[in-house]
Amino acid sequence: MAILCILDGQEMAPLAVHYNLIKCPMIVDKDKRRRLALHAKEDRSNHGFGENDFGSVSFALKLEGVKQSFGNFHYYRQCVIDDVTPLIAPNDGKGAIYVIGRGFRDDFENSKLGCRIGNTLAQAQLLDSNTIRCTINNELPLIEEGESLLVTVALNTYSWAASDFSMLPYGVQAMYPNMGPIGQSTNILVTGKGFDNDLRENGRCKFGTEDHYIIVEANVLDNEHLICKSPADAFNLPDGASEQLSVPFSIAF
Amino acid sequence: MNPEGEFDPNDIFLYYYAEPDVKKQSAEFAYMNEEKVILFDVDFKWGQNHPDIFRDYANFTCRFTSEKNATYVKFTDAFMETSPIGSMKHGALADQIRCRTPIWDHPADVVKLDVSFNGHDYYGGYPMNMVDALSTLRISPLCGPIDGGTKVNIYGTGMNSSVPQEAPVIVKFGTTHSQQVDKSNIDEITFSDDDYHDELHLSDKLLKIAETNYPDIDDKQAIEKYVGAITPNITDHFNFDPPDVRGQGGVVSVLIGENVNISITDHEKNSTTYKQKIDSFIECAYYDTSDLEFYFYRQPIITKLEPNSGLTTGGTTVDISGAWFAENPMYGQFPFCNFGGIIVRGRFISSTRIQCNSPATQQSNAVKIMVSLNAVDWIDTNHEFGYYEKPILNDIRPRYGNIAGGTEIWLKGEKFSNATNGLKTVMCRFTLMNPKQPGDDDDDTNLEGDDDFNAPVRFMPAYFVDQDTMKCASPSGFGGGDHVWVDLTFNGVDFTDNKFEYNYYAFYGSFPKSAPYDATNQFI
Repeated sequence: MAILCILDGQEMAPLAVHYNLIKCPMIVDKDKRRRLALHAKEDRSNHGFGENDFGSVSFALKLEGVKQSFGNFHYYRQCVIDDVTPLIAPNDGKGAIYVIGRGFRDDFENSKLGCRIGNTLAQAQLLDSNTIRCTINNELPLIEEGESLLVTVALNTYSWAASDFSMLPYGVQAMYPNMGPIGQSTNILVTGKGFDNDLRENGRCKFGTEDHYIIVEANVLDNEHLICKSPADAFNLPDGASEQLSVPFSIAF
Repeated sequence: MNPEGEFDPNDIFLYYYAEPDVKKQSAEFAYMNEEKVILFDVDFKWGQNHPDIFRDYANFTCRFTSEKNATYVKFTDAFMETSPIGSMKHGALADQIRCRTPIWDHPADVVKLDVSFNGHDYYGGYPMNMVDALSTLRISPLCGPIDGGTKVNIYGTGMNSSVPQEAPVIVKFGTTHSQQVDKSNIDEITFSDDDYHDELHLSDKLLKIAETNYPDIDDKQAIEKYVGAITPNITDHFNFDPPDVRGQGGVVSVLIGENVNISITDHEKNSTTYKQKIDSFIECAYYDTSDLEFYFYRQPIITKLEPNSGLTTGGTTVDISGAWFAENPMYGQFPFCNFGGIIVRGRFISSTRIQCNSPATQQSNAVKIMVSLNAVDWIDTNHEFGYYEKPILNDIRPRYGNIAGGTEIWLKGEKFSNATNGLKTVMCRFTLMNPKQPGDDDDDTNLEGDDDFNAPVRFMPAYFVDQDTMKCASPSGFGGGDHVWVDLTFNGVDFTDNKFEYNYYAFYGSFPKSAPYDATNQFI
């Protein structure tokens, strides 16, 4: 079957054809590309709206002479990541990560902002041209010591911007013992991953609900272990309440 | 000596009469199977002869003596008549004798005709010709529409044997309609069963019932064929108005004979008194010489005909709808179609539907198509049947198309015809190549029936571009990855021998829709 990719009116052979996938070249005009490259080099410090680095071209396929249009393909200048915060966060996916940089935008056709932490995609929200808020809906994987998750963004959720920032998620996998007497302090060994990070000195354990809790210092043993002492005297039970109770447990740095 | 006493007295009287003067008979000839009325003008010499004696004692006899064989003699009774017959005019005396010819056994014989008044002494000796028997042996067609006009061929004998030759012969359809035979349309032929059946466009097998009671004709027997009898319009007998169904027709005998002219008396209808002498005739039509019957039917109407095109090789089944179609083997009534002059027998399905297979032809053109129930009286269907050579499909382009359909497919081939261009029967057919069967591994439809399981065969209009090119659009309804056969028909019935594979693909979209202008190692 004769297949041609047509980008900005220029017909090109596909890079690869599979039974359910056709790969087409993304760059078509070599002269234009050179011009854009020069322009980018001269203007690298100013990621504004260049004349030749932002715009739409048509994209289509031609199969056996029959043209199948896919609408417009948009070119833009790649964004730059200057900072990411926080870089240490729980892996439960409930937090937000802010990416600070330049060239963030969603004001063009087919824009589709996206964040990626490791191999996990996150929702991106453009706060301003310098800030993207990444919301992780899924739990991040816990990683081994020495590893980290690269944090990056893309204006099309595909062409990820270069990033020097990696995130270290932490999380609890188990604790022992998981019960103790009220009024006594019990050493609790918490196992998980990501404990040996730059904020290990700030390690804390939290016992109780959002309304009624006690935070104690944690003693990080290694990346996968820490110890907390359960609070001895702080839980005041209401009258008539059962003396057996369970409380939520969490850690933070 | 008692001479007076030698003879016993008795009541026997011998009457002497003056010999009447017998003139020549009224007819020069008689058909040998005819009991023809003949009249002799006679001067009875009533001045010398007494009418009462003749009326009471005369023995009027006609004698026919063969000249070929003088021992072959036949007698018929004769009667004394007054001219004009039936005048009953007071005081009128007989002035003619009437008798009939006998059935004669020898054709083309000349007889001597005598008249006797006492059965013994004959007068006259006039010659008379006994010619071939006047008979009908076959008719073609055997049926026709009730509004008449059917040209009927009559096969028979004696139609051209009269003396003189121009003596009229009469054909009768039933009891009320008669017509004179135009003798210039009579030919001497040698009969052939095959030719007769060919003329009817029916086989002897189909005519077996109709011919059961027909008189025998030897093959190669010399007979006469009269081309020109026209059936009468019998609708006035039925007094019907559409859509009244009365007057659908029926059976009448086809008779042949002659009318013998006579003079008769016209009477006052009320008083029966004599008015005047008028010319009349006596019919001599031979009801017992023919078992031939003609069947009147109601002419069908045509409402629809399809397909109206087919291959020059023929064999296309054309479905014709309408009303009043019929099949009646006893009277040779079968549906026929006429494709531009080529007659084919059709197939009776019901009173509202018949089918005909188109005959082969040499030319690619449109011909008029007509329908008949007797292969003679044709109804113009107001349709034409387009003949085209069987198209050859050599290739199709493209071979791939989107599942959304609408892909313009160009069909390359030979012998494409524009005779049927624009008709709804010019179509591309799309047939799934490897239809899934219920229970296949990839059966995720949970459909048990075969009908709803696969995409149905789809037809799309095809358009003529030139003799080598047609085009049609791909239909939707197939899934991505489906392979279908594509072939072509010009009449919705006959398809090209060749068929080509066409594949459906589906695009779910492209990704990404945008990218950095300087992206490297990336693709869409």
